[in-house]
Amino acid sequence: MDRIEPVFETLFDVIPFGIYIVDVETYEIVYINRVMQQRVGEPNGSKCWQAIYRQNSPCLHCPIQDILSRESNALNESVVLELFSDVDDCWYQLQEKIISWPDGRKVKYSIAVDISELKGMQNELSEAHAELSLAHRELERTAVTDVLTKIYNRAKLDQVLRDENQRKNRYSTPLSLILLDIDRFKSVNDTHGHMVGDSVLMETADIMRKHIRNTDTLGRWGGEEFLIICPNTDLENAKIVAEKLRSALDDHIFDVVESCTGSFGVALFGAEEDSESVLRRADEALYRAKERGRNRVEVSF
Amino acid sequence: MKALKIMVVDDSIITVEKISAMLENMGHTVVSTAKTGSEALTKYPEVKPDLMTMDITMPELDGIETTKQIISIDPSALIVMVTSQGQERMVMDSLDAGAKGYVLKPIKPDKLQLILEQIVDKYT
Repeated sequence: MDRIEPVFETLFDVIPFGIYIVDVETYEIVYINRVMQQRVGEPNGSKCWQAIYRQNSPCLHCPIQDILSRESNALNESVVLELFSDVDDCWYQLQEKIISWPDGRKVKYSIAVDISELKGMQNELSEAHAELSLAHRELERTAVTDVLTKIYNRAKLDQVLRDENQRKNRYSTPLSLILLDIDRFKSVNDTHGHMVGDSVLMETADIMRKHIRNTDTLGRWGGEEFLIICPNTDLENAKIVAEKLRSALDDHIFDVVESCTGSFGVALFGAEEDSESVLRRADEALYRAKERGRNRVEVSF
Repeated sequence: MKALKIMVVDDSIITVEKISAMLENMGHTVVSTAKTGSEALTKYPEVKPDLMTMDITMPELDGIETTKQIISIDPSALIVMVTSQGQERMVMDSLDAGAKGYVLKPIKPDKLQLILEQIVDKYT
């Protein structure tokens, strides 16, 4: 370490903050005051990132390269940063500045103020904020999710229906609905009990989720009824989607009941037609599918 | 709580040592450590830890990006973010990336213990 003026040294040693000065070219420590020395303990190298921060290379937070790459007037400009030091588990506010040292070298001096207490409070505040955001997110999620099947609930489906109907009117794109009712669901409940009935509902939801397109919206409409909203889809394509879902359900081997099928009603929104009316038509088509032997797709024209 | 096999990811050796010591004190085993995000990505499939602690700020591949990539390989991966940046933005970003929880530096052993218990309760 270079010798520096004793007056200067005495002055810096009475300041109650850690102070160190490093050569910006070599990162060698030019000067370190007593407070800083006590903080970092026995140095294990002569460069700041070794002796002070116990790193294997210059620190991520180091502003030297950034300052040097700027215009020359960036010299003498203070940089203030907050830093957590894992050497002593403390938070520091660092004020750093590049200046010319009497021998002509460019050096960076740093004043480190311990702000751990302040940071502790700020952290508690951030944690509270994060907890609030998480709680809020969880609330938003539960508000739109069906508790049993984890797909959207009726409230969310109603909202998507409203939004998609508006979009369809604005852009004149086709919008279709697929209504699905699990066949003979009542007898599943009666024969095997509600637990098995619930697992049939969950498995059905999973199969539907896997086989819809990513632009479709799936939700539980009520009881054993599911609704799939298909934007930008005409009747012919909606029928193809419904047929794919029907056959996926037909192929699936369920726990306990093994085989379970569904009946599907498909309807396309007419111009100016409201959701209620389209849903009624989808329901009528679904009823026809049931009448004609179940495990079928019927379309409302 | 059952003992976990844990992988510690942090570019600071000191932090790796501190977290490892805390975890071992709680009875867990640190089966692997990584100093960079890419090292973590390489080691993860071999090590298959029960849980990972992940530093948010690392050079090149940061903790949030590393978390995203690990979750894309293994959606059930349990990752706890370790951050000195007490900003909820970073925390929320990492949770969006698929992390299951976070601890703020300086890490308090009881906080770390609590978050591990919560995650194990909720996800296993």
